[in-house]
Amino acid sequence: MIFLSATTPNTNEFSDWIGRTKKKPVHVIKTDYRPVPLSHYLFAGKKLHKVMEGQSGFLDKGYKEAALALLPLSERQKKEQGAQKKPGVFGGSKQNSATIRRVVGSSHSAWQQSGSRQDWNSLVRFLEREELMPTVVFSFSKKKCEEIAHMLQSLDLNTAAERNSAHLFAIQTMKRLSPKDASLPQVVATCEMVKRGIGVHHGGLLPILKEMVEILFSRNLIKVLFATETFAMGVNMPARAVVFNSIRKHDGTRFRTLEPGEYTQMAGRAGRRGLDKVGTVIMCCFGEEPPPQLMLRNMLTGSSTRLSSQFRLTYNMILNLLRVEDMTVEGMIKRSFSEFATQRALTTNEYPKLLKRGTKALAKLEEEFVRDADIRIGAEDISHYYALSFKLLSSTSEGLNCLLSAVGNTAGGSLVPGRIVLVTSARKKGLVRSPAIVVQPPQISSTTKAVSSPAVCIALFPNSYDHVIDDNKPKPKEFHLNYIGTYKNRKYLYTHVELDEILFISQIKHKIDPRTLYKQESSLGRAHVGGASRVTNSFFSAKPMTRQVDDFGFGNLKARGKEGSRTVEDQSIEKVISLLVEAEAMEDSCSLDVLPLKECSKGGAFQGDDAFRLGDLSNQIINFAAELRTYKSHFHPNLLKHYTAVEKKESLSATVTALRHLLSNESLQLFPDFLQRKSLLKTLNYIDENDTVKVKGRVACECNTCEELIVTEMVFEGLLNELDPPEIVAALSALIFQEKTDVDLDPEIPERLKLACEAMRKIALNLGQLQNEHGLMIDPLEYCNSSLKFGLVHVVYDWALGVPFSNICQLTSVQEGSIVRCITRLDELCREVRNCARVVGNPTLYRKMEEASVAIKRDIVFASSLYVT
Amino acid sequence: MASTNHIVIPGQIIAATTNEEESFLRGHGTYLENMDDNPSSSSTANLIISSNDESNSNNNSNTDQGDHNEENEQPIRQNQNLISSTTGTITRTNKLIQVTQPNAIYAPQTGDPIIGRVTSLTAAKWNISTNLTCVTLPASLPLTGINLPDGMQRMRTSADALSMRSLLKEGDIISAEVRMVQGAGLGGGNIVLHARSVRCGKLENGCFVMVPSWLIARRKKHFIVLGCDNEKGFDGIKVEVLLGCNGGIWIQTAMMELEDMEESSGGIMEQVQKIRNDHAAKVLVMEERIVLARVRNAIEALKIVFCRITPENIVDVVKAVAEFGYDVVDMLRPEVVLKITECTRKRV
Repeated sequence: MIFLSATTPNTNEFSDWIGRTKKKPVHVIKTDYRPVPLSHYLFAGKKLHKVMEGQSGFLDKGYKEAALALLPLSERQKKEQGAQKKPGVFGGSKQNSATIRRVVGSSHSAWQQSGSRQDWNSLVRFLEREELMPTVVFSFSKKKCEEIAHMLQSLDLNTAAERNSAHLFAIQTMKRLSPKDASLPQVVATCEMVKRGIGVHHGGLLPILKEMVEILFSRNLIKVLFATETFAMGVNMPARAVVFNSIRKHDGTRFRTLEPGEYTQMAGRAGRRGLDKVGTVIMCCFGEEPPPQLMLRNMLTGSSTRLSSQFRLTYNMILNLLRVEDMTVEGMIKRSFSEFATQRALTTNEYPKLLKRGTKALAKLEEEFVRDADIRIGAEDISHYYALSFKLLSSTSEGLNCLLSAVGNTAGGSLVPGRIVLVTSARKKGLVRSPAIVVQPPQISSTTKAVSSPAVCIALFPNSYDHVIDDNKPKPKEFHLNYIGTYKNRKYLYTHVELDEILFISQIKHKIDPRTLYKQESSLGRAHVGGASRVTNSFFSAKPMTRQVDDFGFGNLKARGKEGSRTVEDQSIEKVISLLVEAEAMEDSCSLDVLPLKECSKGGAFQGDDAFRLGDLSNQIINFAAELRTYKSHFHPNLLKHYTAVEKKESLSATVTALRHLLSNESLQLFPDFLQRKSLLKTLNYIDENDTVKVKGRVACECNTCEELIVTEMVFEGLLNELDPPEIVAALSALIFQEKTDVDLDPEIPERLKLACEAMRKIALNLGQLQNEHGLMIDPLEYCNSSLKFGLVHVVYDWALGVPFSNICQLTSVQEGSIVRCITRLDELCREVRNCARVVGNPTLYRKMEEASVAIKRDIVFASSLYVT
Repeated sequence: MASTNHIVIPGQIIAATTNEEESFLRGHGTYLENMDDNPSSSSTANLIISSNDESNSNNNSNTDQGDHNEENEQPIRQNQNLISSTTGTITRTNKLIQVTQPNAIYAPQTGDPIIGRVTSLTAAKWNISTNLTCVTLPASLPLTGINLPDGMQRMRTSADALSMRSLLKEGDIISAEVRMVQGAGLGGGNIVLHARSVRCGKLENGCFVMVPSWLIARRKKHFIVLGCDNEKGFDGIKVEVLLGCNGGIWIQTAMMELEDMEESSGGIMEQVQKIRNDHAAKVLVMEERIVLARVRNAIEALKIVFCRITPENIVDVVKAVAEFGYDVVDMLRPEVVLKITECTRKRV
């Protein structure tokens, strides 16, 4: 396989994807030069001004010259048009013309916006003089192509010999058409134009004329070709020069400047290998100023749009995959380019291995937990206790967050120094429902309203606190963070308390002197501590912890050295510890009252529903705390040990679940979409509970050209059975035709057809409604209007009845080429519906569809291609 | 209006249109008749067929011939009867009414896995016989429908066409998938197969059983591995059973799963090819042969008693054989068949 692209910037990502899905090595070969270099010019004041050449980058000099050249011209124009014209705010030919159109309105025809007849004539003459023919002129609407070509009626760019051969070829082409078709206005006009060496190429042209123009252009018999963007795609039709009529286009929703990728694609048509030395790209400036410099520079030198996946799930695809055994829709999504980045990350990060290890560890822990059940006498309800604690912790945390962002650092007095709080953080700190006293409130960053530095507390370890873990703490200094001290056989800890470690806040508040109790760490020490506490989070924390064992002796020594001498600090800490012991005793007797958070919210600036939420949380905390005290485990002397075991198990299981989710199908971006679509198919009876495709599903599989669900419903509602073949094709045309027209339903069509169209609309609305109900982001009305367009119903009906093409063209404003394309695709749909009839087993419909196919397959619509013969 | 799962016989009136609202759509196994005519007379129906030169046999069965009255030719809609042309159950989807025969000849559907035998080679395609016991539906596997042994995706050259016999020759049994049902007429004609997926291709070193196609229901998985949970009667040997929708069944010892292969270099196709070659070259030991034969005879037994051939049924029968302690040789003796399929039959 070979992939070629001139405009894709993310080639490596793309090739990686191909290589991974195909399991084959992919070689990326890049050439960073063009065999025929391009020169970019602005055409202003009947002269070319070079703005970029080859790889040189943007040339400001050329741009300035162009701007200068335009100035006198603009003054002249102003004189001519007087007050009718207002210069654009920041210039640009297009900008200008937009203003003109708005201001001038009906008095001037629209072509003025992109240069007058004079401008174009002089441009083409200039190109001829400078030997820049053949040239492709890109303009972004079919209409404008035609208009500009008509402006050049007086020009003849071909020599007599060339005119002859062009004429001959045109006559040969016309022989393929019936005499009536050959006299269509579009055919006549195009033939006349090509003789003079001017061609038009756009989607509204009849296919056979398009081919004729292409062939003549490649034979160098068309000197100037006015084309839309489609001409730059796919076909290999280079020219010596490319002219941009405008650098803004309408992309279906709005007018915008060309993307660098689009520009490169079109400009790349210039310069024929082996024939030209340089390819010339010209941007026309017919207004008063050239396009803004920044815009131009960006377009010329910017990198093109990244290749991104356009993978969409369709019902047809889902059904087709469901009936094949060894491909799943999930697999399909997984291998799509849109999921590629995530899927690659998953495999390289070795998540699967991590998951395996986590699962193994979890199984072991759970086994241990079950085995140790008999030593948990008096604490059998520990699992439930943990769950409730967890809920309480998160409620308190949320409530405090609310308060902190609204009231400020002390959270409305709830976290002032001297406040007693109950802390649970078994694995990290060895604290379970331990009373702690706040010595420093948390710090809030003024910009993000988030906690920048957590509160500092002195916490009392439970009686059962294991001494061994104590040994691993780094460098504790007295009255500093992470210092562990002992007073009257009770150990206490200076620690940062995160909001999600606070079980609840008590109503007790003591008077303490924070400065004597707590000394700020140096910034170095804090960073160290921060690092240590962070690693404890993950479940392979053992290594960094043990490394710090060496430090222990020094710190402990120092702490011991201070013993004996009683200072002010010692006295106050003694007081604090006794207060904490007192609080612990109160909790043991259930008399430690919970501080309702809503009482602290006075004067707070709450956002949205925060105030109400806080009220809820406040009640929740009180209720949870009360419930917590009903558990036996709460008063168990060995609570810490059991709690740690459960916490370890639960946190690991949470990690494993998260990992598993990441690796599962559920994390696929399109997976919810797939499930929704599948459930819709189930309700509509396309597939059964086991995802086996049923009759309706098999019918839907046959339709590829248009909205498969609508066609299937039409077949199964017997809508098509009531109609004649011409009526059937006419009704089906609504599904195929895509362009916007102002006419909705022609009143002149037969009553039966009208009814059928209404029924179709109803089906589409119903389907849209159903899809919406199944959670897909589809607006029923919009779905109906976008999939059904009745603009060509009458045209197709008449065509199927045998009315000549020239007559049906007069029925509508839709261009000939579009009609032909619609009918060609309609034939395809007819064949698909015919196959549907076969699946269903209905010969009537089958034969009708065959008749319909025959009825529309005639004359100009199905004229054989010039390329084939 | 007849309800679903209602059994009808040929000539029975299923539904009648009397007014505009109560309309229906004719599906397989039914035909329409004007009410004024004698509704139950099958000769009337036959007359209509002979007067109309089109013969429209539905691909579902030979018997469900019927015809319709062109509604559009009659400006005033006549009351019509929808009459069953075959014995079967009624399935109704929206307005479509179909009669499904319980024992219809295999009607291919896109995506069906089938097991067939190569009958002959023609220009760039193999002709495959899909139904070895009944009427043969013409099926073909084009050269473009298989993966070349080197795993390359390229145009098939005339050299490839000449060496086709080295890939598959006459008499080879293959598993393939129905890609499409070709044919201009309603009857459906030629089945086009392809064998691109990793599970499709030449089958070797195993055992083939043919059963009526209606014993095999379409299911999510047709390529199944039995004996994974060390059930009784499998002696710890994993057996792979390929249930072709056309009634062909292939039994072999389980091949290595693709996922179990270490991430070696080379594409998927090379790995698959390697697994297949290994499997074909494997010499089966006695125990494996006995288990394969047991599974084969279990399927035969199910066929004799007209039971659906599903993985669960096969496992049940094999278990029963092991419990009763029958030899493989005795399994197909009438009284033994009844005994070993007893629990399966009861379930029905």
